[in-house]
Order: sequence, then structure tokens, then C-alpha cells
Amino acid sequence: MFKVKSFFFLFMLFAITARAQTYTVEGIERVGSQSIKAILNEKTVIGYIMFFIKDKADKRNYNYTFDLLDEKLNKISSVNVVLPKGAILLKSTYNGTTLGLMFFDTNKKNYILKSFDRQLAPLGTKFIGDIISSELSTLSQMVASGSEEGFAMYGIHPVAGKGFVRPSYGDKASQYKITFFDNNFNEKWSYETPEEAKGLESFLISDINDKYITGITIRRGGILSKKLNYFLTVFDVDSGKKIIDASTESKKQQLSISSIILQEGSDQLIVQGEYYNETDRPGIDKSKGFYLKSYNLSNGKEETERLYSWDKDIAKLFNAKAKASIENKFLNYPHTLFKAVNGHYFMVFEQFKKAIDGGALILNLASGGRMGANVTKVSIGDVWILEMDANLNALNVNFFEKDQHVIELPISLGMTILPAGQLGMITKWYDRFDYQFIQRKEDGTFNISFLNHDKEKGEKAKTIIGNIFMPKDGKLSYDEIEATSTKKTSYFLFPGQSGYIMLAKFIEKEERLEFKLIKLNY
Amino acid sequence: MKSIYFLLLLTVYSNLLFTQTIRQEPYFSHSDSKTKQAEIERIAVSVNKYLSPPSSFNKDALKLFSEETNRIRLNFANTINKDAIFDDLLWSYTKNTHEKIIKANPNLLPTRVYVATRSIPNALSVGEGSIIINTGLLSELENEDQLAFVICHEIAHFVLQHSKKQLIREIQRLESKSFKEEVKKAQSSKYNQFENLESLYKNTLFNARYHNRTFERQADSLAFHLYANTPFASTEPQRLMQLFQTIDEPVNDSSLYLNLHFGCKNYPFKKSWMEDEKSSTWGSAVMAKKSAQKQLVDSLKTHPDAQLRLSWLKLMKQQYPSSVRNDKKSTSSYQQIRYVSALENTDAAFREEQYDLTTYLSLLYQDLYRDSSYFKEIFALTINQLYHHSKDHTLNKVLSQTSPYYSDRYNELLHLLNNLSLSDLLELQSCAISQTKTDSQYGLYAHYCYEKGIGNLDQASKLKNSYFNKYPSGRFISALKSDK
Repeated sequence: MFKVKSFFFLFMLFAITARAQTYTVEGIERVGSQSIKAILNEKTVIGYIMFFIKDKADKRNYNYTFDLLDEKLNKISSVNVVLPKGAILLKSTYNGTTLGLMFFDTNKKNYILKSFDRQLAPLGTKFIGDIISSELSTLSQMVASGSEEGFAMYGIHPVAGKGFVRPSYGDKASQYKITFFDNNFNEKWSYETPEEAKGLESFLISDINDKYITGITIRRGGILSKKLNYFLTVFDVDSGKKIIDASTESKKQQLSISSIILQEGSDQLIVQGEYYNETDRPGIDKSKGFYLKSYNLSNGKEETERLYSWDKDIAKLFNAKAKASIENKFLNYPHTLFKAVNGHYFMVFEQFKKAIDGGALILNLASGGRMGANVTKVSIGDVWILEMDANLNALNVNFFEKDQHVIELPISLGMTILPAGQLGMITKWYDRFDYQFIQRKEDGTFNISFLNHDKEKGEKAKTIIGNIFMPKDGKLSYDEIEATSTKKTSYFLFPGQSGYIMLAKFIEKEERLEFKLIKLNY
Repeated sequence: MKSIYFLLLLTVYSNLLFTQTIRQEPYFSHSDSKTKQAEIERIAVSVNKYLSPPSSFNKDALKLFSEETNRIRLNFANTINKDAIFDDLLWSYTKNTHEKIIKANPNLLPTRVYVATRSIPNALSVGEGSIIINTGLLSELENEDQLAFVICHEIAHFVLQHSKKQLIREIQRLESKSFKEEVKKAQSSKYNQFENLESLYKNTLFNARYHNRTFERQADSLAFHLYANTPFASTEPQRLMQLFQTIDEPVNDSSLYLNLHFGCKNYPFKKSWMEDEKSSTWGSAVMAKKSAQKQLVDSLKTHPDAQLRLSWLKLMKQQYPSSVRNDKKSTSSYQQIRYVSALENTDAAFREEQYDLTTYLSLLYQDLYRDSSYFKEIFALTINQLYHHSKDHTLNKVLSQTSPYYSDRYNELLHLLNNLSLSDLLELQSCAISQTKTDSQYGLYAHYCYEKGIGNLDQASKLKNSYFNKYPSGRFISALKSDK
């Protein structure tokens, strides 16, 4: 937030400088995690947006400012927006053509959705009231703690070029609803659990593209039922029609769903997770391996199922440290699957496991968040990349060791008996993995960034940004950059133009925000 | 647009430069500290003498005035310590030109002239009699006559007390009842406080400082009068204004072929270095912004209103009989000033760690002054520095990204520099170093940095010792001593 101390301080405030590959703004009092966003056009970073509260506009409203930089940190434009007093920015997201912002009016207890085009010209505004009490409870906790992480469950998600989708509770406590808005935040369609449906139902959004919205539907027979059923669910973006609602159960193994990945340029999706023997307890017993299941979206049919056994297929590619991690019951969350410049497929995994047991997350989830409130601790482990040939045969594993650390998922969820795969998905939802982003180019080059909270004995933890980079020569390289936040200095990591990351450094005492493009070495 | 005739002339003269005993490296001396200290002490006296506040100033105004004059002193001291050179070529030449003007105008208040090694083509009147001429301007001027008019212009600013008047005017504005009320009103405004203050700032101070045309016209008018008394050519003030119109444009860089400078037989130039990842979506937005700023572009120039000033000068020239003027321009003797200023400009950019600018200037001047080894050596040193900054992830401090506000050729160079990988930089160092020898201090130091960078410590140690023996007071002594 800008704070004008005196007239002469204004000189300082205007000392906005851009030198070399940096951009500095003076006079900034506070920077939140949603204050800065990278703007992407499909796979390419095309700029950054900064969001600030400026001053009071009138008795009821505040002036907010959006500054826009291009990918090289040249300032493009600045726009003023007036919002009610007490509004907080919950989510800012970009769908390739439109910037969507979601605010919460803490006084009127409603949401305000606003959209802007690339040049920040306003497009549309939508107010959403009648927020369910448990959702309000989450919001209140979030406002009180100053954290914005807890809002991942109810935020807006971008739909490439077409608009935004928002998951929420249905009219009944046992239902869910998803609503699709166009770029002007006009409601185009919504889906809600049918009234005749029995039991409890909730929906976790997974991958989205311009044609499909995918996710996992979790169903439970009743509030006392312990049996949870998982379904792959896919909605058509244009019609809102549910085109797949299929059980992912297998006759031979127990399958844990971790993620759903829509394949670029085809009507295919891949479901990924770990598999267990029939008698195993997922998340407690050691999994047998992971699987990839493909579905044809044009007919909703399952096409292929491929199992990758830890022992037979992956162990030979793992080093000792990687093998030990599997023995230690670490699970593997797949962040992405893609084809690279060398024609091979790559899957990026990050390891995690429950740090404590007990609680009732999924009961809470499936009941619409009205169950008990427990803290769920999750250990976050190493990152590894599986390289596969064009036929998806495993070829090679690159294992990147990190220092383990424990994160706490929001107390309102209390997610501890969540099956293995969903724990990964929830962790992803709350953006608590160390994996940060993948930056890809049309030519198949990519870089992946993750954080490592490196702690040597007797030393304070350092934050290292690990960068896995594949340039045009097809040779994978790794580069590290230190960005340790302290009480006085905070870092925010963003994707950059190809071969770069963008690091925003906020120095609280000096009220200075510095953007820096950092080139990756290879 | 620079005159082609002039560039041809320059190429001829550039060959002559190397047959004379002109220094071939930037100036460096450990013994200037006493001179610098004396000059800094002198300005303290002259500021008190020539920048005194009016008796009408109240306590608050006096305090502001004192703060501002103190800032002037500090800035001057900083310039003297960091950028000024007291050599027997550029400084002596500029002093000599200054003396000719004083001799022709004996009744002027005392003024002193300094040369600052800065690549920006500008000159400055401090306000108490000191005049600073940047090497960036010396390298762009065509002859001593033009330099004389620049000095006359800066003397005129001093004689007409423009700095003092500007300072008093600003403080009077800040201390005026109406302005204070406006500030108070803006500060106490319950709503839109920031916007009100911003508007106040823009409308008053920014506009007040926005290029003061009246002062420039007055200075040109008096400068022309002073200049008319000297033996310098009457045509040159007008030619100078023509030069100012395009002085911010790069000097004929169309012949700068990057593929000839980056790469060698062992590591050929790669086309991929020139590839630009263009942002198609934002391009239009940037261009729209650029177009909107076109109206302001003149005010952003180092020498705004050059066209207007040219027309004033034409009018003024008519007032003086041409029969008393000597129109023979002293071009030939000025070439060594241009050359040595080019050395200083490049070195100043290197010193300031502006490695894109250093690369650009070193390549440009390599083509212009083909017999000079310095530009090849500083190029090798710059690639070495880029390598180390890349390794440390600090390239962002020393290398710019492309921008619509840079020239096309400069942007091409930036694409290339930003596209180089760490291994490219290492190989290109090797290419660049192969173009240099160890028989000059810059060459020797460049070889030392290269050998050390590739881990050839024995060879690096030998080169270090060789430097200590040959250049005990050299430019890189401190760097070498601290480099374990």
C-alpha cells in the first residue's frame, strides 16, 4: 500500500526507476502474495501486474492502482479502480486475454468480480452475495490472519480466452456448484448437484483448458458413511454439459488419483496417481507404483492404462536417495506431463507424505466444510523428473534433493484421513508445494522452478530457487539461485521470459519493491 | 543525421592519430588527489560568494536555500572525485579554449572549466562559475569552435545567474502562501489524497522544471555576443545546433556488424544469438505508449529545442557583420580530442558497469579507430565481466533488456548479449582475448582476467607479476592487489 508521508516524500514515491533488467518502486508499505502476478499468453510470459491500494476515494470507497509491465520490465500503463472500503483482493488470474480479479467486501460480505482486457480497460463487474456460512468462516480466518492461502478452495480459475470458472457450495450443504463466467463476468452456465442425489458430494477442480473443465467428484453415502467414492468428472466449457462422470476404480488394484492432465492438441486426458494392492491402506502402506490412465474426451471412454512399478520399472532409474524416499512412504505428486524439444515426454513429480495422522479432512470436504477443524501437517520432499520416450516407456530419472519441510494446511479443512492422492491435490490447491511453475516455449524448450528450503546444521534455512532448464540443444541443465526471505526482506518468485525467472524483492524497512529478471545459466 | 562527409574525414584523420604521440589508453593518475581536493575546497568558497540567498528570505526559505547549495557542493565534489580528469590533453585543450574566450571577453566574472568522463553528450554550468564539459560531448563535437560556443553558453548561464534565479524561484514557489495552502489542502484532503498530491507535483514542480526556454534563449543570446568577440568561426554555433538535433542518435552504427565481433574460427557466430522472443501481445500496447510520448520526445533529448535555438542563432548572426568573422574551422587539430574522448567514454561506461553500453561503444570505436588496441582490450574485459555476472546471476545489474526506446542496432546488440549462455560467454572470451596482446596494461589485465577465469592460475600469477613490474601505478593495481 502506498503511504504518502509528506509532500517531499512524494519525490521519493515518484522515484520509480528502471535500470538494466530491474524495476524499482519506492514508497511501498506492504506487498501481499496476490499483489503481483505474471501475465501469461498461453505458455509465454508477456508481462507483470502490480496491484496497490492508493488512498480513499470517498466515504465508502478506496482507490486502487494496477501497474502493468511488459516481460522485460518496461512499464506499459497504470490504471485506477475504485472499490468499497474494506475490500480485499482474494485472487488475480489471467486467462490469456482477460485479467480476472476477485475481491471480498468485508463489510457487505459479498464477492466482487472484475475483469480487464490486456490494456487494463475494464470489461465487467459481478457481485456475488449469499455466501454460505462455512465459506464466510474461512474468509474471516483468512482476513484475521492476513493470509490469502486459505482461499484457494473458492477462487476463480482461468479458462483460456473464454472466461473464468468458480467452484462453490450448492444451495444445499451437501451439494456443490460450479459456475462458468465469460470474460465480462456474465454467467454463462452453472452446474449443481441434482436435488435427487443422495448423500454428500464435493468437487475438486484439476486441469482446465479452453474446451474442458476437469476434476474429481467425491461422493459419500451419508454424513455417517465412511466409504468415499471417487469419480473423474469432465465438463464441456461451452455447453456446461457433464461429459464424463466415471469411476476410476480398478478391479485389480486400488488407485489413488493425484491429478488429471489435459493433453495439449488432443481430445485426451491422463489421470495419474499411485496404485496399491487391494488390501493395502493408501497413504499408509507403501504404494506399488504409479499409473497413467488415458480417456478419450470425445466419447468419454477409458483408452489405456499403464502401470509403472516402483520395483520393476522405476527402481532401476532411481539413485539410492530416490529409492530410500519410496521406502520412506513418500508419495509422488505429478505436477505436469509434457513433450519437450527432444521429442521425449517428461513428468515432474514432487514428493510428500502426511506428517501426522488422525482428523477428518475428507469428511469435512465431502460434507461441505462443516466438520471438525484440525491442522493437517504434510512433509514436502524432493523433486524428480521422469523422462519417457514417445511411447511413454520410462527412460531416465533426474532426482533433485531438497531439504524436507513440513507445511500446515488450513485448519478449517482438517484433512488427515484424506486418501493419498487427494492430499497431494489439496496441497497443490493451496499452492503449498515447492514446485513453482513450468515455463515452456512453442519450440519445446522449458524451465521448471522450485524452491528448496535449504538448511545446513547450525545455520538458518536458506531459500534456494532450483531451476531445471532445457534449452534448444535438448540437454537438461540445473541452476540454483538464492532468495532467502528474512523479517526485513521478502521474495516473490514469478516465471520470466524464456530462460529467465523474475524475482520480486520487497525490502520492508526501505519501503522498496525491486523486480529483477534473473537469467538461468546453462 | 551525421554528415557522411564528416565521417569520411574522420576515418582519414583516425589513421593519422596513431602516427602521433597521443595517449592510447584512458587517463589514469594517482597524483590527482591534491588537485581534486583543492577544487572541492574552492567551490565551497565560490558557492558562498555567487550563490548567496536574497535578503528577503525568511528562516524556512534560508534553510531550503542552504540545503540546496549544499547539495550543489556535494554533487560537484562527487563529480570531481569520480569523473573529472586533470590531464594534459582534454582538460588542457578545454582550458585553452576557455582562455581564448576569456581573453576576448576580459571583463567577465571568473569561471573555471572541467572535463568529466561521462558518455552523455552534455555540458553544465554549476552556478558559481564552474563549467563541466562531458567527454561524451567532446567526442561528438566537430571542432574547437563548437566547443567554444558550448563554453560561451555555459558562461552565459553563470553571468546571467540562471542557477541562482532558478533556485530562488523554486524556493519562493515552495514557500509561497498559495503553494503552502495547496499542499496543505492536498495533504489534508480526506479523499483522493494521493491523486491530489500527484497532480500538484506534476502541475507545479514538474512543469516549472520542464525545460526553461527563456533561460536557454537568454544564454544563447549572450553566448553569441561573447563568441562574436573571439576568433572562432561564425558558422559553427548554427552547425552546433544542427548537431544537437541528432546528438542522441548513435554515431553511424549501421556498419556495426555483430557477427564480425562475436565469435571466431574456434567458436563461430551463431544465428540463434540474434533471435528475439517478441511479445506479440504487448507490442501494440508498447507502441501505442511510444506514440503517445512522441509529442514529448523533444523534451527528453539531451539538448531539447535545438531547432528553435538554431533559428534564434540565425537571427542573431544577422546582427553581426560577417566581414569581421574568421570562417576557417579548426577541424583537423580537434580529431585527437575526439579520439581520446572516445577512449574516456568507453572507459567511463566500463567503470560504471554499464556493460551493454561498454560493448556498444567498444565495437563502434573498434570500427572507427581500427589501429587502436584499447577498444579490443576493453571488449575482452567486458565479455569477461559479463561471464562473471552471469555466473553470479547478477547480469540484471549490468545489462539492459531491449526496449522500444533504444535504437534498432542497440536492441540487436542487447538481444545478442542476453541470448548468450554461460558457456557461450566463456568461449567468446577466448575469441576476444585472441584479438589482444599483453603489451599494454589493458591487454595484460584482460589476459590476466581470462586466465584466472578459466582456472589457469599459474599463468594468471605470471601475468599479475608482469603487470606489477610494468605498471606499478597502473589503473588496475588496486584490483590486482585485492584479487587473491
